[in-house]
Amino acid sequence: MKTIRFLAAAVTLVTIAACSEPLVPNLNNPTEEELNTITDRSQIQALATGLLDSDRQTQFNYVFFPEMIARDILRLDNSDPRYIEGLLGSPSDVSPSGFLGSGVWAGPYATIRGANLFINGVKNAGAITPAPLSDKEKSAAIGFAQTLKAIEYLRLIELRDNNGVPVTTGGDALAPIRCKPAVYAAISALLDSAITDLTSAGPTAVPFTMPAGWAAFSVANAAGTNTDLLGLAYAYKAKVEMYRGFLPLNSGGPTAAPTQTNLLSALTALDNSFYNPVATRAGLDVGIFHTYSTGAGETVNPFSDKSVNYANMKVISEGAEPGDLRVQAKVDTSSSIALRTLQGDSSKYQLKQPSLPTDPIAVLRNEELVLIRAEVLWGLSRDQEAVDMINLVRQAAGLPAKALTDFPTHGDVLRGILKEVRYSMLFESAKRWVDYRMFGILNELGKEVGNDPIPRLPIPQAEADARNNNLTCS
Amino acid sequence: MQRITLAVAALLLVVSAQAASAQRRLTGTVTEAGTGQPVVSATVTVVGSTAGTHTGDDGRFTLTIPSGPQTLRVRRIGYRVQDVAIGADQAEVAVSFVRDVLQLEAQVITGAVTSVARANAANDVAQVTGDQLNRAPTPTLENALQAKIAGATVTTNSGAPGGGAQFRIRGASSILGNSDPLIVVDGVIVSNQVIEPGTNAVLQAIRNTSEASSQDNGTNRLADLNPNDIENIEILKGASAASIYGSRASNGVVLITTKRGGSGAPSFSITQRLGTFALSNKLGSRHFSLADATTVGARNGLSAAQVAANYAQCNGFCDYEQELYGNKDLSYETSLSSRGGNQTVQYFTSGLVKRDGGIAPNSGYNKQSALLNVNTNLTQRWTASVKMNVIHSRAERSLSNNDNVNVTPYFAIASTPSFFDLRPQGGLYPVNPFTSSNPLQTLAFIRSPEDVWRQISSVRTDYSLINTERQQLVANVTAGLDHFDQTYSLSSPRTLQYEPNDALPGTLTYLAGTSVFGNGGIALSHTYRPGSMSFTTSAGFQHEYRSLRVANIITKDVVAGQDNVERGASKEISDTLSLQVDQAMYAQEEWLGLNEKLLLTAAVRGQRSTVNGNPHTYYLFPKAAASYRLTSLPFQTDEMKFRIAYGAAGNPPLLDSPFTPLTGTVYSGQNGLAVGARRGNSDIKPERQTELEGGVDITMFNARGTISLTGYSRTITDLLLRVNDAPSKGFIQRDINGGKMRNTGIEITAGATPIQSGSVSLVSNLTFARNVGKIVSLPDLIGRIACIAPDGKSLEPDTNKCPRGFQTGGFDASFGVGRIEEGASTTQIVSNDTLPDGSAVIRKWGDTEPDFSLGLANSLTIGGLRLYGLLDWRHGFKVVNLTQLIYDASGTWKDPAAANARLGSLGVTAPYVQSASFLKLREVTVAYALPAAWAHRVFGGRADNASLELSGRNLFTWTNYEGLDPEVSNFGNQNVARNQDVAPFPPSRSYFLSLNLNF
Repeated sequence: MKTIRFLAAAVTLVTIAACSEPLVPNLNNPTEEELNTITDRSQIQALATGLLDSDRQTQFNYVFFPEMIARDILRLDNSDPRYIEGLLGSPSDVSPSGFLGSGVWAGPYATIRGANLFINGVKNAGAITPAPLSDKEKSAAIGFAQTLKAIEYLRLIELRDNNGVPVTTGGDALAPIRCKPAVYAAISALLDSAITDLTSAGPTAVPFTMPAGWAAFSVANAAGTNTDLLGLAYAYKAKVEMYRGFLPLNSGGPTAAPTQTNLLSALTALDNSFYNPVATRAGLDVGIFHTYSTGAGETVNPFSDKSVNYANMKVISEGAEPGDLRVQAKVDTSSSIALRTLQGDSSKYQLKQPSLPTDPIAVLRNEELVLIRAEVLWGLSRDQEAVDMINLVRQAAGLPAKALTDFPTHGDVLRGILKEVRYSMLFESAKRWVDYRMFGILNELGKEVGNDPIPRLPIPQAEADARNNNLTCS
Repeated sequence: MQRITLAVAALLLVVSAQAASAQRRLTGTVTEAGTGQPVVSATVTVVGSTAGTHTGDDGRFTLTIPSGPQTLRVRRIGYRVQDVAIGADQAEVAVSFVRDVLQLEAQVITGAVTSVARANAANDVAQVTGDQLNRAPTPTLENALQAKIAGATVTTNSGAPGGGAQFRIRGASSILGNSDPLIVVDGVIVSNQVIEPGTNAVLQAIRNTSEASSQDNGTNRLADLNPNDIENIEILKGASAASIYGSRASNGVVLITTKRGGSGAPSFSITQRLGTFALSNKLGSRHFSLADATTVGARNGLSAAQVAANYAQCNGFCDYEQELYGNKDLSYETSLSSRGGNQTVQYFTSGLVKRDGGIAPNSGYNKQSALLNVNTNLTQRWTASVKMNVIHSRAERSLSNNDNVNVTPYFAIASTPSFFDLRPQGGLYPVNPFTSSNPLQTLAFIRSPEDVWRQISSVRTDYSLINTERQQLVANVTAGLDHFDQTYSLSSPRTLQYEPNDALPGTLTYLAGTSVFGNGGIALSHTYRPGSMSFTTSAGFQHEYRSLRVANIITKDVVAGQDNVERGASKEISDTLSLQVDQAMYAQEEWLGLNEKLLLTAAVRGQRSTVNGNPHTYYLFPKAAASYRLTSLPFQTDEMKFRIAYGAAGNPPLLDSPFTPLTGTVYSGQNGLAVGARRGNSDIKPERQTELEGGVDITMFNARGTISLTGYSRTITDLLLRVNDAPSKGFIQRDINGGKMRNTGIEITAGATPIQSGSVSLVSNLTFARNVGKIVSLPDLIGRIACIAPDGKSLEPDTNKCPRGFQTGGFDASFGVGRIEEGASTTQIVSNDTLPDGSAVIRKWGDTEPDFSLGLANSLTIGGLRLYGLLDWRHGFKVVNLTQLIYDASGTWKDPAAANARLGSLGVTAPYVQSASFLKLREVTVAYALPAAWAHRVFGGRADNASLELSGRNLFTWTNYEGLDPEVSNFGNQNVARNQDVAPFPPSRSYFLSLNLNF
């Protein structure tokens, strides 16, 4: 009897306990599944901030690897010999499975996926609190996201070059790898669609707060100025059209003939962008920046690690002119820095700008647009105008102007422009390496530790594995 | 949790006391045959009744037994079971107990409430007794288990004090899932988690984040347990033995039983140990001539005069390994225990205070532990036991392992040529011009205490519902709680040479983790004995709860002299929560018949868990086993048992697998959400492991020899895989179930007593195991690797003929990484090679798991003197020696020619994947039992016996490996990515002198 009572109680308890249905959600992160349905403006803010931060996380490697190959930066790191072995080695020294070969790939594609998530969210945002999105706000936001996607694709193709990169259409499908010309065409088309959206948005600000370095470009299409998102989209359009124009020179060298239509299209785009032919430091510094901070959860400027980041001594020894304000601002040549030698290379110069954890790094500045214009004009054989452009930059750098007669040949004008590119874009851009390769004169960067500069990074092993090692571009 | 308290309360309400029937008192003594020594804590039960008690320290017991003639059954681990007939009028009995030197007659646990005699057990269950565990002093429980169990390998991750070791049974049974066995202590499922301390904030092994990483040299919590408290450890090696324990049993179950009290006057035992730890291996460094030194110095900004001065101060060679790791501080251990009780209540209590002195400055391990076990016979039918264990430990493990800032001592030593003097002059440490830190300064000022407070408690009650000659029905309720709080504070002051490099001088961290494991269950067990056979049926319900929260505050740019994490300019916070609830129901049937010769068992368990994509779905895990004993055999064979067993289990998915998380960021004062690296899978489910095991156990020469042979094959399907997808999709990984893996192996355990005459005896124990793990197939999602053509001279042009695979673990293929590859070993190491036609390929160079492991223990007793030694031999595995790479790249390896050869072939072949087979002398003890009369006299007539012991651990290592220790893992406990040697904490040997007293 007692036994039966006990058994009955036990069975009841077991049934009660077994029926409980604990469900545990993700306790640490919001999820993509949750954010498919946007219900609040703060979610748009969070996604936009996430997009820009995602780009910020890519910036260091995107600048560092090319600048090291361009013999501007030198990494003397005892705990990681791979930098010198790989970036200053031969092309086979950059393994597709290591961090060099797979760098600047996953990051930009994650940003592109995030941008697609953002665009979907904005398009499908219905009645959200506190106020619904107006059509113009939607256009401004979508135009911004399209421009950001273009920026990411540019980062990708600049580093992978002739290897090509996949151009995705969103979702989980595997996109085909496109060759460089096709990628440029796709970027150009993206920017055209961004330009359409931003033009129709008019003088509306994007429906979220931009970080400090982008805030000046918060309005889609402001009246009376090109310092707006539309101007930014046109600036990138100019850049990609220039790349398309100079495609024949990649293998043909500076004497090959560029594609005039693309170069003219670049010129038109520059006129609609925030390009401004001024010779002042403040004027040339207008642009978009990534700012860094030591605040909680923030990212500090990764260049601020002085123990391993050095300037390549060729920055000074290969013709830095005395009195160049750019060199004085960016390169630390003080005698208190001890000479450091590692793996056959050495330096006693460090980076002055950027060097603090809170120093910003430019993404795109007017100075670069001036130099792009110089290159485009050179490509159109308008050498005098090209020299005028570099004189703007030289004037801001406290250097005397150059005359066209200072450059005996058409090719010398190009080298003159590229010299200004080195010092104007020092430690902030991939431009030096990309340009030398674009004009087919990569080896003029010179040998370092006995090796020629490597022309491109491989497609990462993870991508090759997922494609059964089929990496031919189309 | 509320359900369990409800269950217990209800049970107590339903139950009521039983009126006593005709009873009488029986007293007795149990002594050891031959020596006459009293046998402590022997279990004395009456056959056919639940009456039972334990003997006290004087070997005596008192028991109330039913009237009429009875049979008394006396058992204790280490002795052979004895059945003694008691006459109807007998009130006093003397039992002479024969030692079971080869542990033939233990009880083997087969379920939450059931056990069978080892003689009948259908699985190869390994047992380690408390005596075998404590033959030499040990830093943590894990060290004491090495080389003692066939099929279970314990490998330490570094030489740092306070633990950090991997317990692996029958190879790696999962790629992504947890590889730890389930650890149950007195019915409580206890945590063996690792909370990584967060040295990444300073060392930056993972760049640009201060969050803790697997390279922080964390400790797993098995280290907390006090080995002196353990009566017995039973290891169920896989699904075929452990299905009753649920999906986690796929990695094996370690059942620990702590010591219990006995009836009798209180007795005491004290052990005092004193000893020391000493560095046992150094790498050495290149010796420089003055001319070479001047050249090297000039390249780093030193003038010839400065070089000459340093050279003179160092006498040409400064040995920094000795400088940093040469401490030999005093280590001690004081352990007290007491047991006693009467017929109703028995208790066992123990306390431990120990300190292991570390070989590096400001390092060491302190532990204090207190345990109380109380068993009561509340009534004739109702027993209850309560156990409480409180443990506090404080470990200072210094800094070690990988970094990206040249602060970890071995990187800094490797970067500094041996002629440069880093020692302090007048209290000031010189700036190291060769690299970013001065390791002597770093270790002198870094403080990194890790503090753990842990409470393990359990309550268990058994009520006998039916109790007749033929039938018993017992109800059991068990509830257990394991709670620990772990804090870690890292202090890296502003003044250290490397601190200003990130422009935020000074780093302070404070990490706090809280873990709660709760489990409870109700079980019913029914035994029916019609005639000479018995049917045991059991069923039950279990509920498990696991929660963990780890929060970390990292502050940089700190105010000098303060350890408060608020006093700094740059702060970073991280917080991780996890929660998991599992429920299960099970049923088991065991039939023992044919005169206790044939055992058949079958069981099934249904389990559901909140970590599965479908938390409401019950997954079923069945089991079946059989064993048959043959007794009349020729050739001096006493007994031969054949056994076969089958079972299913499966590792559960990782937490948060069903979700696609967005990661939080902060940019310019705004909170951001960015696409994360991982795509979730809402259909994720547990892996499925099925294991088939068979074997034979033979006892020979009148129980003086025993050999056990076991072969097994375990197949795991629906592997949890975090597959790398094309990063161009915007995520890097996704979780799926797929693929198939197989582990097969053999285990041999042999024991012999070659000499046993009078006061001389020699007992030998051998364990041998070989496990071969192979990936059988992988799903289509995984790409194919580039493989070698059949002629071996070039790459296979048609990649569709190559196996699927992906790289995992390690740093770079050129150094040596793991690769999960169809047809290849699960734990292989792959790296670069150049084929005869000049093309480059990545292929297998070795394996992290040995071809075989062998343990040999010998114990020779001559009168009161005992000599004991334990050898551990692991053969045929490799380690990726990256510490040597850093020496080579810095030009400081002691043999520059060899270093240059290695560097030159890096990327062409794999010079850093190196053979690490070793033979270690694990334990050596010389013990002398002081004569009883002498002990009496010296200790004021109070001591019953005393002994003196001299022991050593890890005294010698014979290996060709050129690194510090072949047992190493930069990434801590890992299924596949073990054996990466990157600036570890060097190994040490220990010596102790101990005095044991029993009162």
